[in-house]
Formats: sequence, structure tokens, C-alpha cells
Amino acid sequence: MSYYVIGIGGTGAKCVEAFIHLCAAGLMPDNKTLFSLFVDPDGSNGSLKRAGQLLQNYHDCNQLQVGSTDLFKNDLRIARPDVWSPLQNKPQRLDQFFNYDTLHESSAAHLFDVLYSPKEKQTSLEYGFRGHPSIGAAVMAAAVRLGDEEPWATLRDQISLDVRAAQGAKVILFGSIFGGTGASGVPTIGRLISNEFSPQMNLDRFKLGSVLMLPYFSFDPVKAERLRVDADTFLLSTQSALDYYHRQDELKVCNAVYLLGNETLKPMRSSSIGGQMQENEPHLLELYAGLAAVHFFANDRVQGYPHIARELVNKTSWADLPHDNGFSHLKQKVGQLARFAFAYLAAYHPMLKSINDTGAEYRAPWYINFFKRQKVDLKSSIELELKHLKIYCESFLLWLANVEQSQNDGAGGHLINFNAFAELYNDENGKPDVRLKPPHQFELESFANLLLPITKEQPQAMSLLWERMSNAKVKDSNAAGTGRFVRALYDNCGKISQDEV
Amino acid sequence: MLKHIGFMVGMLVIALLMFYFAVSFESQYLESLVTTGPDITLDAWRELFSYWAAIGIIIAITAALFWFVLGQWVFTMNRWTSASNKRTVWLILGAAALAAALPGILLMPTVQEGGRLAWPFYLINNLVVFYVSTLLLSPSSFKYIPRGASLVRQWW
Repeated sequence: MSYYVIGIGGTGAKCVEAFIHLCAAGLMPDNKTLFSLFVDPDGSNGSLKRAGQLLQNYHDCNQLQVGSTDLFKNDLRIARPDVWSPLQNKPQRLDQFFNYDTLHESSAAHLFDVLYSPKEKQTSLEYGFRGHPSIGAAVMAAAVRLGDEEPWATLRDQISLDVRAAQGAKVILFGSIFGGTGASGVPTIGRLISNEFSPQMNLDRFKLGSVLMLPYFSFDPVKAERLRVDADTFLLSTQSALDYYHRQDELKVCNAVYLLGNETLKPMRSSSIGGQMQENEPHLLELYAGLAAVHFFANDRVQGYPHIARELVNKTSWADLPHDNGFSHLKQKVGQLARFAFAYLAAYHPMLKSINDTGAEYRAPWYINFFKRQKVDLKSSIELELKHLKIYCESFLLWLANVEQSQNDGAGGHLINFNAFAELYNDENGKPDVRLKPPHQFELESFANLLLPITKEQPQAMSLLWERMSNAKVKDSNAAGTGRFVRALYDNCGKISQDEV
Repeated sequence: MLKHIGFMVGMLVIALLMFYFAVSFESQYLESLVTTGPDITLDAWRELFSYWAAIGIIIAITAALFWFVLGQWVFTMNRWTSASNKRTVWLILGAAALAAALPGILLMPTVQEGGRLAWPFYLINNLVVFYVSTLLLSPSSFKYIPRGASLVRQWW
């Protein structure tokens, strides 16, 4: 059984981002291969770019030979191209896309006029469907051709291989229900895929799931644009979409559907119709979306209509987060990866860089044990594996900080003690944003307490980790090269985290 | 904690072995080379030699134990940069262990012949006690700070 993840639209990409972090933390039920694909007419979308870079980075880190462990345990195959646009190599206006000018006064032209306003027909779709699922649905249905073009051909072939080999395949779609791309793409792509594999669906060899995001963020309107996404209409759009899905039974093709929403809409920092400027910060609800995907992949049958909600209105605690093995398992895994990333950025990567630059390797016993004695070339490792790992660790900690910040309503911390490694600042527009501190400013005394609530102060935990790393051994024949060092650090960060859960 | 106590006991054992070696072999060897003269008998000189050798070894092992205590309980490795100056600390303590030979060198009574042959023994005793005990039994976080330790400490 392989797992397929398709992020549709900017929100879909952000959900994939959260899901990949959960995979890196080892929360998937097994170590089977993941296949990822993004669908977005706006390939330059900032959120999409960030998620794409994360996938590539995860893929690079996955090449580390860390042996049999949960860290980066799922192989990842990224679709080529990684982003599919329904408007790729096609006209960027709705009227041009459907050759409206050649329809003349035919009944099709009149139907087109009834369905779409002149503004909708003539606005450039370079930056997506601008919150208009009616545009997206028509374009998606006309453009998606499984088997005709990449990456759909590879996706279809790969799924076919899996289902023929009796391994089975599970596909999950992420998208928002209140925008344009996700609301139109999830049911359309879901239907096309399920049509292709309906015989296998009946044999239980193919399963399809959807994670639909209800409104959970807002942004200021982009005033200069004629046709735009308007956060004020999110709830209305959602109501219409849900009503439409219900009446048309659009989601019946799915074996499982997860609907996620939030009572309050978190204002996003940037307001943009699309492009690089549309890089929305991560949000807690995307963590839930990632967990929904983990749940879908971990369970063969999702029955009934389970409903989960958090215990308190304004506060999300770890106990509110769902996982098959219980929240403490989730907390332990996220905590272990957070500590690993923190320690690596704050101490181990700088020390390795210092040794590479100036020598004096006797300062770090673990370097001699894992690099020098194993004849691992530090210079090339610094430029490749260790650099990839550094980028991943930075993105993970920043994502955690943003998840915490997304629910910050002045009631204090809930999940992540992000002040240990990140800080709030005002961006050029005076809006609050989160950024990582320089590693030398990390609060090292908080290393053992990166997750909340703080139960026991362990100010010397980093020192204890250094001591353990100095004697660490990796008894796993599948671990090799730089991967042995990474494995040792990850394992030992896990031992420290156990004190806290 | 047991491991730490074990390491410190190991250091003491190294010091005791060195003292036993000094008393049993060094003084016996020096006996054949030293001529004391009328002011002091050879047995008394040997006793004084052993006494000052013991003082030197005690100071050297104290320096080694001090290094262990510093490394295990005082120096923290919360910051990676903390590792940078530890070899200097180790060298200073090593110098202190060597300096512990000075009382013996300065206070041993002069003899007719061969009295200065005791000096290298004092220096070597102290150096061996400090170096071998820190080489083999430094705290884990600083175990390769003593020169040559990375060649011998592979399994603990």
C-alpha cells in the first residue's frame, strides 16, 4: 500500500506542509512510500512554494541513512512536475480557455453568459480562481486528464501498479472549501480519480479521502483588484459549497471526508490575490488536517460520523489533538523532533561547522566517534546532508512557532514554548510575524521544555544531551555515514523528552 | 552517578598504583645510585623520597579529580562554545600536577651524590598520575580533551 497526497490550492499546500512535518516526526502508521502532488493554477503562490521547498527538503533528508527509526521514515516521491496547473500552456482567461469568441451566438455562448459575469470571463486567472469555485470547477473538469499528461499519467500508473499488486493505494486530497481552487478541485479531482479506480474501490484496494478546510483565516481585501477573494464571503461561500456538495452528493466518491473549521478567523499577515506575496503563515488547523490524513492512512475503514472538538473555547491543549495512539504519543514524537531540531541548530551544526573551519575536533567527542572514526567526510557532508538537515530543522521550528502563534489570543501559550527559539516582530507593514532567533540566542535552558505545559525545569538538559552524545553508539547496521550521527542525536533527544510527557 | 563515582575511584587506584611503584621500585633503584654522606642515612633518605613522592602524587591526583569534578559537575555544555577553552584548563591543571614536584625538589636534603636523580622521578610520577587518569577517565563530555585520548578511549 502506498500513500498519495494531493494538495489543492494554497490551503491544500499548507495542509501538505503540516502533514509532511508529522511524517518527519514519525507519526505515520508505517514506513510506506508517499507520493505527493500539488494542484494550483498559481504556481508562484508563496504558500505553495514554501510547501514545495519543504517536500524537496524532506526528500533530501530522507536520503540520510539513519536506519530503522521513525525520523523521516517514509520515502517520498515528488510528482514531476511537482505542481500541476489546469491553466498550464493554456489561455489564462476563462473566455479564452473555452474559446468563447468562437462560440458566436450559439446556445453554448448564451449558457456561458448566464453562468459567468463579464468580469469573471475576462479576468486573468494567472493567480488562480480568486475564490470563485464556479470558474475553477469548469476549468478543472476540462483540464484534468488522467493518463494524458504528467504528472497525472505517472500518478495513475503508480496507483494502478499498487492496486494490481494487491498492495492497495490510499489517496487523500487537501483543499479549502471557501476559496476557488480547493472548493472546485477537491470534488472534481476526487471524482475523476475514483472513476478511474472504481473497480478497485469495490475490492477495497483503493481508498480515497478528502480533508476539507472550512474558513479559519481572513485577510484584508485587495482593493485594486476587480475580481478577488473576499474574506467576508468565506462563510457564505462555505455554506453554498457544503449545500452543493450535499445536494449533488459530490463527496460520495470518498471513503472518508474530514471537515475542519474554526470559530474565529485568524487574520493573515499578507493580503494578495496570489503570487509570491500570497504566503500565508501556518495555522493550528493545518496540524489537525495533517492528523486527519494520518488517521485516514492508519485506518482501513473510517466508519460513522465522529465529531471532535477541543475542550476549551480559547485554548487548544495536546489532549485536544487526535491520534490513534493517544495524544501523549503525538506529543512525544513532536517533542522529540522539536528537541532534535533545536539541539542541532543551537549546538551540533555550529560545532561541526567550527570543526570544519578551524579544526580542534577534540572539543566534540561525538564528532570523533561518528565522523572521524567512521571516515565520514565532514566537508562534503556540511555542504550536502548537514545543510539539508539544517534547512529542515529551521522550517520545522518556524512552523511550530507559527502554529502556536496562530492561536495566540493573549491567553498565553498552549502547545509550543516557541519563545525558546523564535520571536515576534513587526514586518515592514507593521504586522506581527514570527521568525527564528539566531541559534546563539536560543534559550538553551528551555531545551527540555519546548512543549507546553512546562512540568519540570531541566536547565542542564542540553549539557546532559552532549554528555550522552559523547558516549552514544548506534547499533543499527542500516545506519551509515552522517546518518549514524543524526540517528544518535535523534534517539538521545527522545530519551530526554520522555521525562516530560 | 555510579559511573562517575567509578571513574573517580579508578583515578584513585591509578594514584595508588603509582605510589606503590614509587615506593617499591623507584626508591629501590635510587638506593643503588645515591650516596648520602654523614648527615642522613640511606634509609632515611628513601623514606623522605617516598614521603615527597606521595605528596606529589596526592597533589597530582587531586588535580586530576578536580578536572573530573569540573568537567562533570561545574562545566556545562549547554553552549557548544563552552568546549573551546577546556584544553587550556586541562593543561593548567597538568602544570599544577607537575609543579607538585617542586616541594620534593626543593625540600629534599642534599646528599653527596645522585640526589638530583630523584627529581625526574617526582616529575614523571606526577605527570603519569595526572595524564593517565585524565587520559582514561575524563568526564564523557570532555573525554578527548587530554592529548591522545581519542586514540585510546574508543569503548567507554
